[in-house]
Amino acid sequence: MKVFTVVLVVLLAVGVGVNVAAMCGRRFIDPATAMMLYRNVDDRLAKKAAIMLRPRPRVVVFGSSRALGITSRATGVTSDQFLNAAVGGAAVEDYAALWRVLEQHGKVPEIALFSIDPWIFSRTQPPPRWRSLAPEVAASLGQSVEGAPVPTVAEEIRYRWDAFTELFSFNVLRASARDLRRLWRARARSAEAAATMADEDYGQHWPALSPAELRRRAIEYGREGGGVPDPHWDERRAAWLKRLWAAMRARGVRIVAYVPPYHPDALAAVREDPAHRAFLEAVDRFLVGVAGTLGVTFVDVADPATIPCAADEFWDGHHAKTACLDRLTSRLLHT
Amino acid sequence: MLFNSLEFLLLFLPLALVVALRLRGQPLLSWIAGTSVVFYAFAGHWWFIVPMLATTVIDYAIAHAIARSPVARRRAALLALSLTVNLGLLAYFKYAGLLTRTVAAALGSLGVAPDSRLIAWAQVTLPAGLSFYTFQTLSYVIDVWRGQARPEQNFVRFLGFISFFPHLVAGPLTRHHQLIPQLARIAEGGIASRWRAGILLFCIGLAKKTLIADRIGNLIDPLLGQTIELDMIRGWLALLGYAMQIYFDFSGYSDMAIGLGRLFGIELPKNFDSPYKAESPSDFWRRWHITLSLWLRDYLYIPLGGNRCSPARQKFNLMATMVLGGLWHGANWTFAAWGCWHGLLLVGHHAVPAWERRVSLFWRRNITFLLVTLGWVFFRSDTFEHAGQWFGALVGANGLGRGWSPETGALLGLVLIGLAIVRGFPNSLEMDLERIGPVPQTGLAFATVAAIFLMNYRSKFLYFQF
Repeated sequence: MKVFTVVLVVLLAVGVGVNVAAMCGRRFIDPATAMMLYRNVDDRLAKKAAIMLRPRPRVVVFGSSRALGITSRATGVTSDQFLNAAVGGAAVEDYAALWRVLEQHGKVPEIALFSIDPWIFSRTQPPPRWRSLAPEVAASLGQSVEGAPVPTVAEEIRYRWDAFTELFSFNVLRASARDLRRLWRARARSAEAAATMADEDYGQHWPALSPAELRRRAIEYGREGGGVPDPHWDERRAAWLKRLWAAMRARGVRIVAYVPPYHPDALAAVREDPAHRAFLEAVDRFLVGVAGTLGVTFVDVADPATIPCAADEFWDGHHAKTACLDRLTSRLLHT
Repeated sequence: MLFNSLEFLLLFLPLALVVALRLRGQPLLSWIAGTSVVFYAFAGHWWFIVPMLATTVIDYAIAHAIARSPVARRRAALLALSLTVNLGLLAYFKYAGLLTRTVAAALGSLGVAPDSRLIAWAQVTLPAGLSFYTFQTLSYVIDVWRGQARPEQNFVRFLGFISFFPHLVAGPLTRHHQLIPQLARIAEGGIASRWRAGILLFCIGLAKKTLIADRIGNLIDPLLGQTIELDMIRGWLALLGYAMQIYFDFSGYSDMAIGLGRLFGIELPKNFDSPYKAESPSDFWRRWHITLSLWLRDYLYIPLGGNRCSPARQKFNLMATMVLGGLWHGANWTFAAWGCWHGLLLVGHHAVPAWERRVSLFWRRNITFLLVTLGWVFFRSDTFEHAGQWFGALVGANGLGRGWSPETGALLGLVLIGLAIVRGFPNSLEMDLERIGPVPQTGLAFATVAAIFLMNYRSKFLYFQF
């Protein structure tokens, strides 16, 4: 038992140690270098910095990683006039925080394109990553919603627990090892070499999957509820979104919103479950109602056939490739 | 809450165990029952605890009423009440959907539209572990009615017997005489943890589930999502893969449960005994899901008459037991077909008395393995159409094979590793974990760390990936 215990503790310590080292390394180098070298960076802070540094955009995209692939190409504006403010695992809090930053810096856009993930209306959401922007969330939602504690004690505990469990994740370990390798080589050579490595690595973010593997991932994602494993309607966040849109409309922003497309097999798997199907329908009903009240353009394109996008135009169960997103954006903004 | 989650391993288990080790008597029983109920409340929906507690209270009271009543008819009526409650819960939560779907399909074929409200009413979430704890309480009440057991006086101990978290959600299906005396013993003398045997067995189970079963599952799911296009090689690989997946998953979970029991000084019953080394269908059922097999034998097969009746009636008893046993696994007619398949295998085995004498051990094992494995087609298929397509693929209806992919290679590798383990090594309960050497200990430590990192594979924050 002694051998087992020693080996177990040493191996766990090595795994966790690599993740901690990567995390610490990120904190001790300047943010610009971290952005360049690290795969595991806080994209919320990066988007906030982008809003502050760039000229006023005409079109801003709000959404999650599912909207990250939207570029200026299909929007009809130049890249200077376009800002993709989508962040991984987005919540209503993120929209509110980034809107606050835009407002604060006098960069209210003409058009806001919202990619609305159904999970933002569920009480069982992704982890509260928006905690990175807690002051902006508090300032934005605190003004418009009575008694909006940001973040709540439960959300803070959950955030810290989730951050702790990251230290035991294989995926994070793999990213940490790469980050440390880049950091080490950058120190040994030059920032230019590190940038080259970062470019080379970028292609691996979305590895090309075989059709069978893509389909497997899509079905698995769908069976797990399409990002909403245990759907429970969240009135509070639904009200926040409505008030946020009302505030944006009051500033003259044209809002175009859509429920983003799923891989066809993922959508079929989601709809197989009555609870998940009902949740998607509830999301639709709510958005149609709010859109009608506030003069928002809303289209549900969860079914990729409505765009149309084929199964091979997805990276996985819910991330559409750029060509599909371009068609979607073009249709939303120009028709 | 799953055993293979960090919430369980780092929060729930240490807290539950550390406090339990400091308690004695009624407080210890209350702690075990209380933590088990909390565990169950996180097993899906908090309301899962409602039917579990209701069953516990009702059967506790009914068993006492049966023991107090001198009138046979009243005792029989009380037993019938318990059966109605328990089987009623199972019928509603587990089988209402199947029955309404079946009736709706039958009406639909006659051109009658079924009532959508009825179908919606039958679409209910099945509480985790319902099939296990209803069978546990049923066996307890039946034994009290038969006079083979005395009613438990201590309600908290009875609640601990039903809800003890290591076995609550997926077994082993534990009988009152196996657990209640052990709970009484630890309450009296405190918990004598079998640390070494418990931790090592838990880690073996974790590795079996995470490193083999889950990995194979990831590879065969896409194949079985398109059985209509499945070629012969992939059809067989998927079948062998599923045979390995279900064994490593279920036996891994059972190992974890038994290992956890040992940490609390409780020895839960053995559930698997190298089933793929079975020499006949009868032998397979002495090795696969042993606690369920014994339950079905004692509370279904023998009451139906068992083998002390005419050959025809004996065959009927076997078939009925296996079909109902199949349906116990899930509310789908494909599970009934799986039970029927095994019933036919058992009847066939009884009809060939020379099987053991005339067939060599090598062929007995391999033929049994093949027959059992073919039965998994029904078990894994959602519909008979799906099962038919899969059987078609096995005989080459879609060709021999189309190309080779890395996934196919990985699946083949995992299947071979699985086969080598199940056929070439002793099972986890045959190993003397108290005397395991340093090399296996090192290997198990590596496997455990890999399992911990892989069970938490997905990142919640890793930004590029979301």
